[in-house]
Amino acid sequence: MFEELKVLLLVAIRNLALHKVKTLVVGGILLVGSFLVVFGLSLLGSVESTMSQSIIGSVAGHLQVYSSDARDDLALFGSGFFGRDDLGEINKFEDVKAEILKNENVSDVVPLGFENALLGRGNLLDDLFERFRATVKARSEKDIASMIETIKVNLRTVRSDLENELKISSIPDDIKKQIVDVEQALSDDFWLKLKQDPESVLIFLESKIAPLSGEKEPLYLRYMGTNPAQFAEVFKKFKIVDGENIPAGERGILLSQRIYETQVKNIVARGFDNLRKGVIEQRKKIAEDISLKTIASDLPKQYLEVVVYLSGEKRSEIAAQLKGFLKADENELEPLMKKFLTVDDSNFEERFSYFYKTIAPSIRLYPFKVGDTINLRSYTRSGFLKTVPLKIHGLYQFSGLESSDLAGAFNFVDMVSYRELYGRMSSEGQKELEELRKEVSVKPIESGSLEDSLFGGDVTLETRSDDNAKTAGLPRENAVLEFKRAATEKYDTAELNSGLVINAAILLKNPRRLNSTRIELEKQLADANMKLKVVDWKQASGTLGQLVSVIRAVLLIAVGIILIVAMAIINNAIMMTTLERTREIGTLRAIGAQRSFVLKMFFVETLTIGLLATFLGAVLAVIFVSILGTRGIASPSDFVSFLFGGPRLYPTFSTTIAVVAPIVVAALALVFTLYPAFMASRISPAAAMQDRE
Amino acid sequence: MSVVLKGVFKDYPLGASIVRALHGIDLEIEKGEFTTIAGPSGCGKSTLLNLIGCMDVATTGTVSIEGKITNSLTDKEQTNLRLNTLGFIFQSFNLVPVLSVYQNVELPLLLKGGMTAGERSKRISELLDQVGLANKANNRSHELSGGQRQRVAIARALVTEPKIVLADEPTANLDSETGQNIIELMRTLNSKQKTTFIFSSHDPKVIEHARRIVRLQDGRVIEDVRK
Repeated sequence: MFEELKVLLLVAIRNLALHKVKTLVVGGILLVGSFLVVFGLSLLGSVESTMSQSIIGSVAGHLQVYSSDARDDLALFGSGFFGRDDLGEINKFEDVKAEILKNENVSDVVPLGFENALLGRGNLLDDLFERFRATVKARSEKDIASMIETIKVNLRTVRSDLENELKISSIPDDIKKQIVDVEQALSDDFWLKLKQDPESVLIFLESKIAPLSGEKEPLYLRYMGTNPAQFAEVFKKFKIVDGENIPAGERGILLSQRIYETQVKNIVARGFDNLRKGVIEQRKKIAEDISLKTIASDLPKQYLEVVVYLSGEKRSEIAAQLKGFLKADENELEPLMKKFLTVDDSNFEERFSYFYKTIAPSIRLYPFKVGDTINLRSYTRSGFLKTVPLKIHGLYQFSGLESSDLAGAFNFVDMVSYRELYGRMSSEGQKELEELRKEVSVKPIESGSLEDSLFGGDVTLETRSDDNAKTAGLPRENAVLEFKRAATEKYDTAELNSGLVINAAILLKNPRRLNSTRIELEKQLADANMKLKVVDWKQASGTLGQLVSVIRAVLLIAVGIILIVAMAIINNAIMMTTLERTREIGTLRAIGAQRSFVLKMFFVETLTIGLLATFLGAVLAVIFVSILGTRGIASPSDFVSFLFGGPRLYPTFSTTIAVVAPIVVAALALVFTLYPAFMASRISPAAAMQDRE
Repeated sequence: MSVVLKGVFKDYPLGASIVRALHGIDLEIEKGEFTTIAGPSGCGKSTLLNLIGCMDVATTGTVSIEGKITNSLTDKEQTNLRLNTLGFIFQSFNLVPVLSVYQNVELPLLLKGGMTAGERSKRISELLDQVGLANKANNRSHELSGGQRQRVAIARALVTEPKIVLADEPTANLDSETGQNIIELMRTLNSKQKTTFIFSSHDPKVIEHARRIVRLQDGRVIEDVRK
């Protein structure tokens, strides 16, 4: 037996050396095949592990629990539609939490609930008139005069825009009326009225003129109610980058740094940021990259977004500076700004630094900042539009996922405010509401808040200013128009962990037992008569969680196809050599080798080259992965950086894959040797007599 | 009796028609005989040797080797018969190119099994000595001349101590002097070991060395003489 194997091996090795082309083809294919499998699966395994850390460490936890009455599946990172998912309710979170904590593998349960809110961004003139209202209120004659000039400049732009529109419009009469309004606002008589009746001037501007500059798209904010302190403690990736976490017992919101930078920031500044990323970080050319080209061509059209913030001395100062910088003939700010914002590959770097050094400090880069209060508008379950003012306590990000839109998609609010937006009020809130109602009923209702008053009866009246936190403190007689905030800032922290939540993240002590714990919990909750579903992070994250499984399936199918084609080639190559070796095989049969010996001879040959090549391929893959593991693979996009758990992926290899994959590939090659080997074993011993020399 | 053929016919299909290679051969070859199957090419020499060598089966008639009728044997039994009872020498030597001289000779022993490496080594050395290749044991076949290769083939055929050695035109690929030397060697071994030798040839100089000449023509025995 051993002797026979020795001969087989000897013959196999000698034959492999003799048929070099066949050996190289077969060996090469097997090497590449094994390399691809080991490399691909190692990479995918690494991505799956980093992605799981991204998902588990940001909001999902190991397991998620939610009502089994839910009509939709929980999809933390979106189900692909910007709709409202029906996830049911967990009405008594305190009971659920207590029940779940009975499981010895559970370390923590974090209450959650997410929803989409609208954040109106107003329009350019709104911003301007809002500042004007504040200026008028402050009664600074000099500032008022300067602002009137700024307003007039902007009105002239609006007028010329309208005149252009008139030429192509299908409703010329409406536009003519609008032009008349603008003309009126430009007249000196109009501004004379400001002294006697500031309110009528302001209202005319706000109601008739402001809408002419067009509404900016509202900002959609995805917010998640939670227990802020607990959340920050449990999710280690969570990091406050500006301000502070929502303090215990206080209401407020934490904005995602990512959203703040990419959606809230001044649009021109964002344009510059995006171009910087493309041109400087990714070394692309504006002229060649379609998306950079679009951003660059939009920039000059957005000049008003900068100009509107410049008034009085600043206007002329910036205009003079721009004139010098651009070496231009114009003196007016508008054409200069348009010219400045016309960027291309040759001038971009210079313009970018000039923008941030000279222009940005004079404009409002962010409509609101940490410490401000914003009005979050959301539809309650009963369909009312509900507005809740929330102080921005801070900006946060998830470490390693700073540039990911997916990880930065959430803004966090305290669970109490969440419930209010959801349409549930705390007992404290109910009481407050009653008082508020009495107060509101004696106030004149301003047109801007009419809608809320009509449709959201129990709602806070919207304040007119983003800075209402500050204005709220001013004596009543100084205020032009203002409303008191409704909800109390304070609540009992126990409220966070009791009452309504939508879902909850479960953190485990031993994540390896994730699946068994999930099953245990499901049973435990069912036994306690709680109709709840427990899903793992993969399922909870929506389509994203399945992404790696899908990629793996695609990769395996692709590798499968490649291997089958490769195997067909191998099959062919062996077939060819079998024909060449007819006489040799015939001789072996003639001198007494059984058919089985011939079969074995082929198998040993394939296994020798197969195992040699596939293990070499696997070793190369392991080396390659190890090199990448120290250097890292740069993430090609922000989305991929979420999968990578950061800007670079440091892949690791799995020993199991590195050992099993080559064996599987070699075994596959063996399967494809079956037919040629069978054919060879059928060669008649008489073939030894065929003389071809 | 070493080999007995009775009324052997052999037909081959050739396209739609059938070619009859052997027409009722009756032949008996005794133990230790040194026999040539002679005749022009296409006369049925190879077919006859194939039948004796258990590499093919007669269409009708019986072939018996050492008293065993081969017609109804399975492939495995035929193979065992070839391994244990028969030895083969081919026109083109048919050494396994990837093996050394020693390994080529050793191969049938390994297939057969049952011998220790030492026993094998002793047997192979003896044989290589007898065929005059004691110093070439570690050479590969392509390093040898035609005559030397055929000597290796002879050693390989004899290594299992077969009862019958079959040689198909063993000298056809050799020059006449070398061919005669090979025949001389075979004859020496035949007389020493009492092994039955049956070889086919169409070369008169080779044929004359045989003790018995069986002439074939068109698949029939036309002459059978013992010297």
